[in-house]
Amino acid sequence: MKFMKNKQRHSQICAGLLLILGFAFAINYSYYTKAAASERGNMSLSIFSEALPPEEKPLMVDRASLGQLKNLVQPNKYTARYTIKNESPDALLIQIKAVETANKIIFESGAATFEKPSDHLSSVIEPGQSLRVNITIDLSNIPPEQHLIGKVQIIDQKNDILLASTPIHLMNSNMNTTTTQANEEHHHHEGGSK
Amino acid sequence: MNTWKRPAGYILGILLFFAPFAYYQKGLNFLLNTNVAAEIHTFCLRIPLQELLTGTAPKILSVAGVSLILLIGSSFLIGPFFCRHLCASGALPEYLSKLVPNRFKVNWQKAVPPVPIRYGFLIGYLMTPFVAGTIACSICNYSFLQWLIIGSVQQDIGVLSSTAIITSLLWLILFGIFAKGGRAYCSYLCPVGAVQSAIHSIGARLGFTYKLRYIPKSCVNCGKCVRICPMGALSQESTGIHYTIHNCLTCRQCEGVCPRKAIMFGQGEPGWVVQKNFPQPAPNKILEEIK
Repeated sequence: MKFMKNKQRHSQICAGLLLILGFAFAINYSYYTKAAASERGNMSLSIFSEALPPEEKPLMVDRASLGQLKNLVQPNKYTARYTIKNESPDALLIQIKAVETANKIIFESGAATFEKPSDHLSSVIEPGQSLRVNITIDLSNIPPEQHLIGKVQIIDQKNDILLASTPIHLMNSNMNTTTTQANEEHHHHEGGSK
Repeated sequence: MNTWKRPAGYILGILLFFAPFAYYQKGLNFLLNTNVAAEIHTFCLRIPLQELLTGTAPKILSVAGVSLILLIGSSFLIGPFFCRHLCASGALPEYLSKLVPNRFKVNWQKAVPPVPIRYGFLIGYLMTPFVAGTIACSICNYSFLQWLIIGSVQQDIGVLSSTAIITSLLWLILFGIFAKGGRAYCSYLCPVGAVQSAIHSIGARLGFTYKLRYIPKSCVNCGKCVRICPMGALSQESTGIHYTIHNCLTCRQCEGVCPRKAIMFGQGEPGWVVQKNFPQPAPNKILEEIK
């Protein structure tokens, strides 16, 4: 009887510990997800009127933001979410296209289909509504000294006016930090020898 | 239960919920006059569970609202129907694991009891929007299956994030192909399955609902049901076959394999009570008799 009670108590303690383990895994994974979210770019812009000069906001692609697993499995594919809001009073028929690109840049929006996504996309945005576009950028074979890797242009298809342009810049904040540190050390060393 | 019915159901699940087909979302869009994207994300059953707590619950007459009501109602009346018949994301690793020899597989559910982890994870999952942020998308094996379907045609898997890589490794490899039954991911880390099982455990107490029923006097404790259960919900003990309803998807494979019809799916008393003077695990002689 006592053995049975001890066994029951033991299994209850084990169950309690496993419950905490499951709970802790979910919470910790939540923090990890938050940290890993930076490996995906995020960019939003608003279109107010065709009369205004085109907005030019850069998209920074930082290689250092990619997590270790991502670096191991798929280091040359970067994705960013691009949100375009129509703040004008009229519906906009737009075309999004990649220009001056060093590598492949493709756009996807809405439900996925068997059709392969391409480097241009057309859509209508109703007044006050937003269009969400996923941009996939191929980062393979880009020399480290190259910074501008392409541009995303949003064009009004009705009259071929450029509404907005997003230059895509590639950087590696880790390398910049290392270079800066190395330069600082070099200057410090030079200063000491004087 | 015929062996073709389960795979046919999962193929139907792909046609109903996954892009580019998503006939369920398209049909509901038509009926409800809504305009949600016809793909797996708009059918997500995980986010509405969190939204019930965060106060942003979906409208009843929306794709998410109707799906949630169907999920809760079916779980109460007939058990985890979605897991059992339609969830292709849960089924894929189960079927793939059948291709791997048993000596390469880990019996996770026997090594680590799934129920406390399953419900601990569920509580944690529901709490994540209040902590660092939701993990609904980072543990999403639904979207990974959608990528696999579309990627297999486009011959491009698309862009994977670090969390998607972790999820796919757990879901498809560690807790999938190399796990006994192939459903360790469902056992430990699926909040939708956990909610359905919890609701089913309440519904199963009532006589008119459908559940797995056990007839101890017919059981010879041969253990066939235990070996075939992909979730590890059955265990063979000296007091009889022990059933953990909180980790059961009512796939009814145990019912199909039982030579004495000691396990049946239907209405009435569940019958899963501890037996006195129960036959010890059947010796080979009894097994031969059964054969």
